[in-house]
Amino acid sequence: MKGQPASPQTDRGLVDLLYQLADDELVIGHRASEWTGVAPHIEEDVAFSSIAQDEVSHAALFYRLLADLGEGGGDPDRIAFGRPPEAFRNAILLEQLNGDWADEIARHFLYSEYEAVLLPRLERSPHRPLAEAARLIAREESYHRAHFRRWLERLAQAGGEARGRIQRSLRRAYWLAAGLFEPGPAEEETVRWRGCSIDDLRKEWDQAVIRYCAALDLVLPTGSPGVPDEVPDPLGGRRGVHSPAMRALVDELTQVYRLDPSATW
Amino acid sequence: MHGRQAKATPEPGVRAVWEALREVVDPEIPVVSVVDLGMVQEVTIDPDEAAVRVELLPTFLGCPALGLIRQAIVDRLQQLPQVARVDVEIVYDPPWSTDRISEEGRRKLAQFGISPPRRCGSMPVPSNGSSTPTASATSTASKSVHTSHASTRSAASTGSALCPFCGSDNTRLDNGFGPTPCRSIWYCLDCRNPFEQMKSL
Repeated sequence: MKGQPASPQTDRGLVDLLYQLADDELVIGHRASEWTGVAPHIEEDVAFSSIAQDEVSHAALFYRLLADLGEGGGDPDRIAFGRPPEAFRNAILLEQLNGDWADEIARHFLYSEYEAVLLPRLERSPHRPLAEAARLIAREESYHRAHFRRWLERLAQAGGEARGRIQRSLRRAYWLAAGLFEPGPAEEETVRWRGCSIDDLRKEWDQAVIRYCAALDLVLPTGSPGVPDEVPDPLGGRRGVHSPAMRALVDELTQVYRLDPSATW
Repeated sequence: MHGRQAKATPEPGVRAVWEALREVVDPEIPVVSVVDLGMVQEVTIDPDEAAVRVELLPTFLGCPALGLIRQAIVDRLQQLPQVARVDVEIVYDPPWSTDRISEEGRRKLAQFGISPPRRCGSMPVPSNGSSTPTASATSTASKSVHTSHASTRSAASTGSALCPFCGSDNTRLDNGFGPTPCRSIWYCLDCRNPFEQMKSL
């Protein structure tokens, strides 16, 4: 470690990392909640409601850590609901409109594998509140990962249309998932709070997902040319550049808060 | 888990606080108290200020009952004589685990119809049932997936749950998620009842 580390309050690298973590969870949690009532069967309505509840609570914990560092005037709600879309740091994969069931399984599978490589790093973060939060969140996320692995297997092994669709969805989601690994504006400082470089994290994640998919004969478009036009480069979420879906999402998410930001709940 | 209190000089006040906390129940599973659940990490009393401080460990992070529980603790402890102030502090270290649930708590859960959680134990690497493909997977899949994730810690390994109605372990997981963040849904293949299990954490 070079030089004297900045104190947590002033370290943009830490604040930036916490925004990425919190916004990822809030946005995917919101999208998960939109499956309630329209999932393919009732057990999945239950599962997605529960997963949404978990993700939003993880976001709330990260927003609390940000508030403790003085963000949003110390008010987690203001951070979560008082920002315009361009202030969000979530990866754009997570804000995409809900597609079909295969799209959702592909997206959640890739995201839960991302959390599975990231959270163990964060458990050793020099920012102790982050390390403690990561330890709690990792245990809950392991249930999500198990769920999405089971679904991925189920669709892949079903053959026919299910297999074709999950293969297609996985390909598209994989391209967008690259946005999880784009550096934020303070990446140089973020590295020490995360405990590894974003490139190392990507390698670890790639290894895990490629291996898991290969075991199911699913092919990921690694290193292959032909990224579709609809996938922007860079993807942008980590620097506040989002897809059109994000504005509507934030509008809806913040609707109640904006009615009266000073209200207490 | 409450060793610190047990070992401390037995102040009558502390004992009375613990007794009172045994009456504060989980609003979603009203047969178990916060003490049964192992949610209370520490009780300290400042005799000069007549102030009680309770360290409370949250269970599942998305549990909406936490606010209610916190308020119920304040309300109950304020009924104690000579208590002027109650502070309930939410702490995350040590992390709460279902292993903190007392034997009595486990018994009460089962009587309520909820299969108690499997013990996580202190094993650094719990079994990785979650990363094992289902029985229909090819053997290649199962081998490869096993090696790639054998070292990954996972609370989500499914194992099997004991039916709280007939005690059978011939049961099947129907949904890893249930009506609350802490429960999963199972089916007993012997007595043909659906039931819930508290997830291990």
